[in-house]
Order: sequence, then structure tokens, then C-alpha cells
Amino acid sequence: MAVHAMQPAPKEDLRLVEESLAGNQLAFQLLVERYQGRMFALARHYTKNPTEVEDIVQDTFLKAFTHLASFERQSSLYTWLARIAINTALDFLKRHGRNPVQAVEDLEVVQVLDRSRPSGTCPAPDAGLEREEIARITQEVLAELPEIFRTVLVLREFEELPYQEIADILGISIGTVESRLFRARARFRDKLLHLHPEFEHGL
Amino acid sequence: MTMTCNEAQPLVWSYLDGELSEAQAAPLRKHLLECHPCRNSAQDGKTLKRWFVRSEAAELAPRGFAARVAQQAFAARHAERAEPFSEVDDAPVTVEASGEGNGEGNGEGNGEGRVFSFVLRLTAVAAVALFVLSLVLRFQALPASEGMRADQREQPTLEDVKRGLDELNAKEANARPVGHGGEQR
Repeated sequence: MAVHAMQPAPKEDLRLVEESLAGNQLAFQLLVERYQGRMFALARHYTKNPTEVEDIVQDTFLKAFTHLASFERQSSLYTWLARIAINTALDFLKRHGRNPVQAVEDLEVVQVLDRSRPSGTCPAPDAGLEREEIARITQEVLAELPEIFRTVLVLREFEELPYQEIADILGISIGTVESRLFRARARFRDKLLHLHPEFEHGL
Repeated sequence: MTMTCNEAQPLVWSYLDGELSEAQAAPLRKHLLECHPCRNSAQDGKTLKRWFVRSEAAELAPRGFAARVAQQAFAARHAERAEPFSEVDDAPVTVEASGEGNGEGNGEGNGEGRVFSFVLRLTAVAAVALFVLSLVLRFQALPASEGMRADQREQPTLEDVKRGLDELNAKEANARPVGHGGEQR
């Protein structure tokens, strides 16, 4: 998996943006093709329904097209698209009555739990597990986490984004990214052991 | 200068996430080699990270998705351009070149836009016509109501008032019984 550091949009992205703005439909199609995989992967963290995933990604690109003229060239196109995709996914969840920020209030409780937990207790994935099986278990655990923790973990662990870029996407400070990641990881570990106690011993 | 556990612990995740500069990472690495609990803590973090593997299917997009989205985006843009009252805040600057590369489906969106625009224009014309009609009716009705207004009626002169009073006095005198005498003045 490549590391996507915070950097200006590559020349090829800028060229496709300019041509799309000039009315070249094929250029916009190529831009979508370039980023559709990562947007689908991102959207799949918010819903498992394939139709809903497609709707979220489609809305993301249509919104991006509408506001393409306002894209600031000094930031990466991925960061910009990811921000739109996450907002679109959260709006979608709210519209469908699935509140995505259900556990912001219990941050203090999480913090207390974090501090009372001894270190070195995270179970390792079984060496015999297939890659797809590990991915399935991880998705199962992530789906149980409040959205703010899920999003920050996805951006860091799957997208491998630096803290600064995560901060830009979520509109928060680097310090908040760090503390949110810390809590998210503690939650992930707790939920993993809760859902799969079989990993606690002998692994 | 050696790092203490209190200094090392908050840096462990940043170190594992590759967020530390070499100047920050070097003393931490040295501390981890010497400190068993902190090394365990770092190992725990590495183990947790091993769970984050992406499914092979995670990035799959439906066949023809990009072409479909691009077509829809441009169809919507053409419909917007045909709509005279739509907002133009986010409209691209170089709209004159946008006729290039349109698919067949775009004409449909454009046509819908024209029909919508025609209906809107028709509504606007009807609204203006109704307004003019209401004004005409109002002015036609005005003379009839003028006669009802006290401030615009013909004012009686002093002579008229005197004449009126004389007539009233005369009537009163005629109506009075004979035995009561004349006027009390």
C-alpha cells in the first residue's frame, strides 16, 4: 500500500481537472477512474449495502464536479475527494436514521478505560488466518465502533495518511487526531476481544 | 541524555505511525532497546496494526461506473446552463468549450432544461399579465368610488348654508302651534 503524503496535486491530476473544467467529459471520466477504487473502499466502511456504497461514491464525484472550480491546487485531490466522500457518507447515514456520531459523549469514559488497561494486551491475528478472513474480522470490529473512531482509524491504517492530512480532511487539529487515534485503537482492541475472545489466549 | 518512560510513552504511536523526525525517533529507539515495558507497549501497537489489512474486493468499482458518472455530471451541467434562473456560483469559467465530447445522453438533459426554462418564462409572463390586469381593473373602479368620498364632494357656500337655515326656520315656524307666540329672541 502506498503512502499518500500531504502534497500538491500531481500534474496529471491538475491537467485532468483543467480539462474537465474546460468541458472535456473524457478527462473527468479519467479522473473518476483514477480515484474510484479508493472512494469505494472508503465508502464501504460506512455501509455494507452495495447500492448505498455506489450512491455515496456517485454523489461524491458529482459534488466534486460541481465544485471543481473551487478545488485548491496546492492540496492533494485525494484529500479533497476523501473529505467530500466522508461528509457524503455521514449525511447519508443521518438521512437514513443511522446516527453516525453516537458516542462522542463517552470520550471521558474511554479515556478512563484506556488508562486503566495494561499495555501489551492486543491479540495478534492468527498466523493461519487468510488475508480475507482478517479483513472480514477487522471490518466487523470497525462496524461496531462509533463513527469518529472508525473514520480516523480507516484514514490512518487503511489509507496510511499522515496526521496532517487526516487533520485537513476532518477539519481538526493534529493534537485531536493523535488523541482520537489513541482512543480509537483502545476501542478497537476492546471490541476485538469482546467479539472474538478466542484470540485472547495462545496467539 | 536518556529518555524516561514518561517521555517515551506518548511518542510510541507517533513513532509507529512514522510521524517522528529522525532526531525524535533516535532517542526513543534507544529507550525501547533498554526498557522492557515500553518495548512491550510498542510491540502491542505493531500487533494491533497487523489487523488492518484491506480486502482484495474493497476497491472494486462496478463496470462502467466512471463513464456513467462523467456522463451524469455533464448532463446535469448542461441542464443547469439551460436554466436561466439557476445559481452560477460553482459554474466553471470555461463554459464555451463544454460542447465537446458530449455523449448522446446529454441532449436529453439539455432538452429537459429547455422545456423547464420555457415553462418558467411562461409563468413569468402570466404573472406580469395578471398584475397589469389587476392595475387596469383598479383604475377603472376608481371614478365610481370617488363620489363616496366626503373630502372630494362639492363644498356648500355660505349663501347655501344661510338659505338652508332660513328654510328650516320657516318650516319650524309653520309647524309651531298658534297659541305659543312668535320666535323667542
